Amino acid sequence: MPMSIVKTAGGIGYGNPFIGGVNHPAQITVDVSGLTTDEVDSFGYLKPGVPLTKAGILVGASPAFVYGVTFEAQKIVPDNPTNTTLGAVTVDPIITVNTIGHINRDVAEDNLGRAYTANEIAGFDAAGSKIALSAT
Amino acid sequence: MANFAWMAQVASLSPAALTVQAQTLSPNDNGRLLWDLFFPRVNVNSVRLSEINTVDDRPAADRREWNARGRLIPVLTPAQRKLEMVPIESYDKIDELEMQYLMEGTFGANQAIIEQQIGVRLPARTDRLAMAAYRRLELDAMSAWSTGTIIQRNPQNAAQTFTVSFGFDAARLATASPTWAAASNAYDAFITWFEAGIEAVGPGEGAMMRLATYKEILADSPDLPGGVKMTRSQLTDRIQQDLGSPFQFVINENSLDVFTDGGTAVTRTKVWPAEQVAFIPAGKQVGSTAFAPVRRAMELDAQVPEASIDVNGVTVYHDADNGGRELEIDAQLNAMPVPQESKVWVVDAGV
Repeated sequence: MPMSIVKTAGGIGYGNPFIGGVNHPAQITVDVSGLTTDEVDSFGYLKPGVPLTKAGILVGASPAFVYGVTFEAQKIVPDNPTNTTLGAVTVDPIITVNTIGHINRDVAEDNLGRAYTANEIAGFDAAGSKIALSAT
Repeated sequence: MANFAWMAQVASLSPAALTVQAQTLSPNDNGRLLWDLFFPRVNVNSVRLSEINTVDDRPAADRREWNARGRLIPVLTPAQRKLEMVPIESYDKIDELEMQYLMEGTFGANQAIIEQQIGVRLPARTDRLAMAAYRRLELDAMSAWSTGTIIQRNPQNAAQTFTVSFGFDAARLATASPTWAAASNAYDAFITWFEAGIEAVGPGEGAMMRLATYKEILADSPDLPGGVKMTRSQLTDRIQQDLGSPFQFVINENSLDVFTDGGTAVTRTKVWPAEQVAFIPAGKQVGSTAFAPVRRAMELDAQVPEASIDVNGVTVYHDADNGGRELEIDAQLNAMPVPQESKVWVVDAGV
């Protein structure tokens, strides 16, 4: 067997995006087919900081509001997903989101590796949402 | 805490034990931080401080004629400064699944090493939180010394800042004109500035600066016979001979990871600002670091007096949420560096 050196990159772990305690969890089914590799990491975990509607989809155009936000990584698909494989998932897993609280936007966006969309930001302020988004 | 009964049973995980452990850490990170060298810790009894500073009080009496009166020395009301600090705090949150894995200890091969490196156990995490608090103290100490200000940032929105100034006399935080790069000789400019510092501060034993500034001084230092440039050790020796007193350069290129914004990304940042040069007074003490009591430490001390908790030191506390499924750990330090104005002599050398 030849010599082998395999280097695994280190890095910063996910931060819990909620400022203060998480005390109002709710279980919803998430529509995986609408997610991308921004929301799901290479190990198949749904990242902390994903804002979802009550129907378990990413917050789209008005009048959608943010029902809950994920706060701990949750395994939802096998390793190494792609946008294509995610789009093909037809079985919606049950996940936990927190429904009341205050989100640190920078932490959530760092976890996702992308900025919240205008629809998502508007969704925090929309009627029905009980989650505040920190100013940045 | 009812849902965390196991933590109370595991003595090493109680807030008191974690606090005691955090307080055994080297406050200067085993010499990598300099704050306690120039701003030694002083315990105070409140987060509100009242400082009295006597600057330039040097009255000299006169001779008088026989049978006449001498010189009245008027009462000097010392400059006073009232300071109020806010806490330094770092926190970490662990949710249920992570706690499950931690308690199971299922990291597989090299588990012990991985655990140690990423600090999966609570005491290791609290060590990291406590050191983060000391690093903020380092940044604040060097900022207070070099600029006369401390900048408070909103931890969730770093763009929001509040700058508090110690209000030092402008002459003590000067800007070189021309800059030492533009001056005909940076070595001469440095010596002139340092000698003025001896007049303003008293005896000195060195100067703190960044490497670029030092190199400018070295480049302009007098040539040795035959036009040979001085070595670093010869430069120090030459300055000691010119000044007639011990002298050392403290080149501060230390850097820390400062959070870029309210998130998790960091920027490796130099602790000492570029182009600033500070006079190091004899004895090195530029001021002190006031350590005020932490309310939660007082509470822990009352609960377990036998732990001999340092109520003015770094305090670790944890709190459960979500019916015990989430744990938040805080490390708090109520400390603030306070430079003594009469010991501050800084110049922005422009290089």
